[in-house]
Amino acid sequence: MIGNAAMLELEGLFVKRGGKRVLDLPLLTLAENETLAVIGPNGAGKSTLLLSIAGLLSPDSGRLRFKGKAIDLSGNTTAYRRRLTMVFQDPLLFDCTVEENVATGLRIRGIGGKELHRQVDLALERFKITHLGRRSARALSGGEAQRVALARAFALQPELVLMDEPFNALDPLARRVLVDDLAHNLHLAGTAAIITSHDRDKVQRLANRVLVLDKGRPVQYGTVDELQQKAHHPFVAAFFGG
Amino acid sequence: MELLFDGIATAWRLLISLDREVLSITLLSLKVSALATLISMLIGVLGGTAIALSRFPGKRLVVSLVNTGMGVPPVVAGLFVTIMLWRSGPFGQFEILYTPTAIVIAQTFIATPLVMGISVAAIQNLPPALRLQILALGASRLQMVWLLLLEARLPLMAAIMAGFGGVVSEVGASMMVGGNIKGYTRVLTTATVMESGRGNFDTALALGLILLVLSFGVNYLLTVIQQRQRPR
Repeated sequence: MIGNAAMLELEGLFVKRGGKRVLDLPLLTLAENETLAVIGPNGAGKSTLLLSIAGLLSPDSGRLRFKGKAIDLSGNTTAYRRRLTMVFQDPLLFDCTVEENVATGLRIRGIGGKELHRQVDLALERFKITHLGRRSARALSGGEAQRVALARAFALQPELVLMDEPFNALDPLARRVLVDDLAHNLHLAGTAAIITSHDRDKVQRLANRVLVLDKGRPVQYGTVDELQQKAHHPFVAAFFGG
Repeated sequence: MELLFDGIATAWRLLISLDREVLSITLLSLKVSALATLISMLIGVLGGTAIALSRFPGKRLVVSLVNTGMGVPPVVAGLFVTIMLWRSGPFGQFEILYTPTAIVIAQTFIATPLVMGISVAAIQNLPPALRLQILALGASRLQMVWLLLLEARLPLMAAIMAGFGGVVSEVGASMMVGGNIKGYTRVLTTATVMESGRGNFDTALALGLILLVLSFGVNYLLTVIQQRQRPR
């Protein structure tokens, strides 16, 4: 945790599947405006962590506080889920226009009319896809589709954005340009974010802090500089180039 | 070929002369099949969605039973409904055998598995992560189901079309539970069979053509709804 008060506090988060531990995280905090990168080998529990925080997976045990308020992850999480959002590796767009896709989350919240159009237009503009507004989501390139997914998420003005390897399917050039735009939008909106990634450049570009998971457990936590200078785990050494 | 042209000519004559009996048969066919399809749509789409989205022991068995139901011969469904509605049967006291209501019930039994089976496949065919994405956008469970139904609207409309096609064209069940009573339970299929049995092939052909036009009209309407607002 850095700077401001913690917006997210996780304690004793434990998730198992098929009797096997998937995630065992004693403590995690995230400050307002902070971007945390979660890295680790495949099967480290990164996605499970994001799904748990998103209220999409009920953990076996653990406590979560969001802006000081305890959240019951095993109960109805709708009100909590409306304060944050999640972007997946696959853009998962709906079979309709780009505009309609971006409007979906807003409509879910009962926003309509001029306010809906204003927020959709703003989100399209921020991710530089205004020209795609009327196009079918089925007719987009991978990079365009991921921009729509991000615009759809940011249109909601969430307090926290969770991103599960959102750039993996993109070519290096599209990835670099989109990461720059994402960094700009995170800064502009002042939104806290947690992002999982296998890409060192992206972690360096976006993250204030890094959490390293292996086999469901945290093995290192610190700033990018700290991890680069002193790796406590072979994965960290390999990730940051020794 | 002469028989075919005679049939077309007879159909045309029956239609433009607004033959009362033909009109009443056509309207009853449309009414019972549309009502049966509507009931099947409600049960089939909702039931199919519930099956597709839930996890429970024996789910594969349930899906297999639904899929088997898709191929149940109408005459078997008719026999089952007849036994249920027979005077000494479990629902005999309602005295609805040989009424249009009985035809609606029998046709609902035929169409529901069709609609449900295709609905299960349609919802299961959506990316599993889409449910998580919808919830991550802040949807309640009900909103999630609605958005999934919208996303699967093409195959779901196909399911409804299959259901309507299955019942508007069936004859066995309508004959058994309706009795083909003139002016009361006679529908296009039962009338066609009757006229054919009497050797009135031109009238039978005319009724068959009307059935085809009716089926096309309803399917065209459903297709227009299905393809509406699809962006390019």
